[in-house]
Formats: sequence, C-alpha cells, structure tokens
Amino acid sequence: MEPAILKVRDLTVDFRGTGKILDRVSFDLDRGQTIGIVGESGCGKSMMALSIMRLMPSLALRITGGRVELDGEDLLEASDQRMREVRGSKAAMIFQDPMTSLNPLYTIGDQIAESIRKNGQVDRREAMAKTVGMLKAVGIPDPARHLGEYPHQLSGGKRQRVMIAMALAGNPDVLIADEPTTALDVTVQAQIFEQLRAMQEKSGTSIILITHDMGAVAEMADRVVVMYAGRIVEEGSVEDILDTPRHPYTRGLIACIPHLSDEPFDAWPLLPVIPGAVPGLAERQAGCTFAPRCPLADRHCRENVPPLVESAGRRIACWHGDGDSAR
Amino acid sequence: MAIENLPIVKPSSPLAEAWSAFLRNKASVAGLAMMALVACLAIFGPVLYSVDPFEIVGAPMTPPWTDAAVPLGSDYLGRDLLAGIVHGAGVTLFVGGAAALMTVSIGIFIGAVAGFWGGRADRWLMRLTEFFQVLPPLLFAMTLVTLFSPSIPIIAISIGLVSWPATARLTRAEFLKIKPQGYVTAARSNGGRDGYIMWRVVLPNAAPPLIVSAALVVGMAILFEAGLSFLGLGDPNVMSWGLIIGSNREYLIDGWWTVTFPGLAIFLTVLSLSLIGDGLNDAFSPSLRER
Repeated sequence: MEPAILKVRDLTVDFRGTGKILDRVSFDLDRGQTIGIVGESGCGKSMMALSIMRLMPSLALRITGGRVELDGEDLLEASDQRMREVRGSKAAMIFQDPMTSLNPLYTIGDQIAESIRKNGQVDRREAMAKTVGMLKAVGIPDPARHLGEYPHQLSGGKRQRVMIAMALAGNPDVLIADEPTTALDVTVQAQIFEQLRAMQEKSGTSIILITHDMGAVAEMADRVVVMYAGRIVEEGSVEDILDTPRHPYTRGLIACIPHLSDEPFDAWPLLPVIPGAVPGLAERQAGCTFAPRCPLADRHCRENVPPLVESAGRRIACWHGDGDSAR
Repeated sequence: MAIENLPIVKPSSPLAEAWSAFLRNKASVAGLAMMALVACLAIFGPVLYSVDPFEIVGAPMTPPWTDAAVPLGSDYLGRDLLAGIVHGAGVTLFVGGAAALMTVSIGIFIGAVAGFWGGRADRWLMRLTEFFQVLPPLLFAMTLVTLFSPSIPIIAISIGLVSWPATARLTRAEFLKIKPQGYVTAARSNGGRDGYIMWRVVLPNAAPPLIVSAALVVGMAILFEAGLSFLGLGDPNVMSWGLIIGSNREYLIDGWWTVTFPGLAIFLTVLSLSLIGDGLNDAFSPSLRER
C-alpha cells in the first residue's frame, strides 16, 4: 500500500502558560481519502488544522512537539519560505465562514486568478481563462458573468464554491475543510459535499473534513477521528465509529443526532444531550478530560489519563472502552 | 413584471460606491470644488497675475480697494497682497501636501509593521511612536527648522517628522482589526507572502479611515506651516501664506487686511480639506458597517 500522504505524530500545541490546546495528536491520512475530525466547539479541531498549515492565529500559541509529515516532508521543520510554497500548492484550506473568507475589495475573478498565478507560472490572460474553468468546475453557472462580481454580490453557497475554487487552484495534495458547510443551509450543504467529492475523484486530493455534524461525516468520510479537549479519544473507519461507537463521548455525539419519527410530535423522545461543556484550558483536570461529563466515570478515570490503545484497526482512549463494565 | 423587463443592476466596485456616497454629501462636494479652485489658483494664478510678490509696487499699508495697482492692499513694505496670496498658494499647498505625504508614509509604514507582525516589533515601534508623540510638536519642529535651515523642504520634513505618530497608531489599530479577518487567514493558507498580505490584502481593507485622516493631515500641515511662519521660522525667500502673516505680524493693529486675507485663504483651504475628509468618511462608512 502507498504510504499515507499526511502523517501527524504527537502534535502538541501549547497556549502560553495555560496548558495544551493539542495533546499528542496522531493520525494518518491516505491518498485520495477523506478523514472526518469531529468534536464539539473548543476541542481543538480548528487549532489542529491551523497547526498543520502552521498558521497560528496568535503568538501565544506554540507548536511544542511532534511531526507533521506531508508527502514525506516534515512541515514543522520547514523554513517559512518553504512553508509558503507548501501552502496552496501542496496543502490548502477552506474555512467555515464564506462571508468573511473572501476579500471584500477584489472581484472573485481577480481573487481566483491571483491564487492561480501564485501557484504556477501563468500570465494574466491564461489565469483568467483558467479561472473561468475553475468556476465552472465548482458548479457556478455562467462563470464569465460572475468574474467581475464582488463577494457581497454572491450567495453563501456560491461564495463557498469560490473558496473551494481558490483552494484547489494550486492542485493541492491535501485539502483541509474547516466546517465548510456550517454557515450554509442544508440543500446547499449537500451540493457542496457533492462538489468536493467530485473534485476529489478527479484530482485524487485527500481531504481533512473538520465538522461537528455526524451526518456530514457519514456522507463524506472514510475514517473518523473524534477529538475531545485537545486529545484524540477515538478513531476508526466511518462504519466502525458510527455503527459501534465505543467511547462514551462518541456515543453521546451520535445520540445527539435528531431523528425524524412517525410518532406525533408530543410523543417524541427528548433529544439527548451530553451534560456540561468542553472544559476550558485552565479548567482541565488530571485524568480523563471527559470524566466530569461521562456517565461511566469512576475514581480511576478521574485520576489517570487513559492511553490511546489500538486494536482491530481502531483506536480508543477510555478505561471503559471494552464494554460498560466498571473497573 | 416580466423577468426580461427587470432593470439590470451592474455590479458596482467598492470605489464606485464610495464615490456616489461622497457625492451625496453636499458640503463635501462644495469643499472639493473649493479645493479645486485653490489648486487652479496655485497652478494658473502666477501666470495670469504675474506681479512679483516680493517687489514693492505701491505705498506701504495701502488699504484694500483703494488702489487698482494693489487690489487687496499692500503690506508694511508696499508689496502687493494679492500677488502674495496668488504666488503663495502653490507653496502652501506643496508644503501641506509634502508634509502630509511624509506623515502618512512614515505613519502607515510603522503602524503596518507593528500591527502586522506584533510581538517584539510591535512593542519597540510603539515605544518609538510614543517617544515622538510626547515631544511637543511645535517646539520639536522649531528645533529641527532652526538646526537645519528654514527652507521649504526642511519645513515639510519637520512637519512630517513630528506628526506621524497619530497616523501610525491609527494604522496599527486598523491592522489589528483586519488581521484576524477570515480573508487574511485564507490568503495565508493560499501561500501569500507577508508583503503581499500586508500591502495588498490588509492595507486596502484598512484604508478608509487612513484616507480620511490623510485629508485632515494635509489641512493640519498647512496650519502648521502657517504657525511656523508666524513665528518667523518660514523660508523668507519663498512666498507662502504663512510668511505674509508672519512678516506683517507687528502691523496687525494698523493694517488688518495684511493678515486677514492670507488668513482667510488658509481658513478656506483647511475648511475645504475638512469637508472633503468628512465626505470621505461618509463615503467609506457603508463599507465599514458591512464588515
């Protein structure tokens, strides 16, 4: 089998003086595959994406350990110059909010052409021609007409398509999609996923899909990484995780998905919730970070960090991962 | 209404929208017109009215509207006031413009570097800015002009050197506001160089308040030059509005016109610059609200 295109090993990110935003995060991404990263807000999903790209939003955040190997090259060791070349041409990113991710002062044609020119030696005319092609490829009808439009004149779905076109302009090996459809409505969401899958099939791009939407994961991902408070708590194939979740957090996330039922509305069961919230950096205690919210937690859980144990093609970090039996 | 009859709305660029917003502010349009007049006076005036402003052409202290040779009267030496105003316009505008250009370029550069890179660069540059800010500007400028020579370039440079800190701080604040925006991160994630992101992505989005302040800085620089000239630190060999006021300072009681007319010229120019700044503020605030 071909080696994984992206190998993340023990990636650790510190927030100055307060604690670890990411704690020894490791996973592999195979070529042409999609990995879904799930977890609530504040679990470190977006931080992980930004760390892979080395785009730390604040000087207080430092990558303090680990390796990020993209196509055999350790990005954490790369020079700033090399990193700029990598961004866009080997790894690219699309963001959650298409409303703010496009520069309001330039036409979308200019913005896409700019990223095409940056990632390949083409002149202006050629870049414009390619831009029209890109817009068509991401499913924008009548692309030539949209070239001269500004971001505020486009709908959210179209803006996200433009973002995808910009990210794919450099033909990257890895595309990191940070909640690409959270700001869009459901029908548009489905179209965007379809578009991403079609592009993936055509170009063989690997995708890291960051989301808190299990439905999106079921639709897109080959493998799933579940993160909680900066650590990976469970990882496995999408079937394994969705059909037989073993970590109580994963189970909680899946139980929270609303289902339609034929019963009259009054008879619907209450939607389950995971009580509490992701602990802030300063509130994290010793032991399993999920213990305060976990129905299975006992003293052992509260005092000892469960290791991420691999077995049968999946990994889990839970003292009760083998079944519900208390220790 | 059938679809084909719907009006076609052409996509408008942010600049076109700003211009139409500017045109809605009548006072600013008046300011712009007045500024255009002053500019015409500066460019064509000396050709049309070629009396030498330094030559004595009439009796000293001739009141205005009494002698056709000196329509606006003459100063304590008998020099033509109108000629002084006409020939001084260009110099005054040049000093204002050059000083403002300097203020804005130093200010934007320092503020942009500090706001963009943050950390140590920010700390040191802001301390430098504060150092310049606590120096009394007039005294500092007077010192510079006295140390070197009271020539027009030195005066413009001195005004620029003492007035950049406000622009630097404004630029830094705008950069700090724009930097965390999604499109900046997106540009980085696409492999944009720091220089590209700083000047092509962040600066244009940070520009509106800077453009407004630049218009006001020109007015401030003109006033500053007048102030220096009034204190006798202007270039005595080049006619400017400030110089007329400065040289007639002692005859203010006997000849009100000698300082009133150049003062009026300064007042109207600075006023029109303020009005333009106000209109620019209107022009750019819709886009401010948008983001």
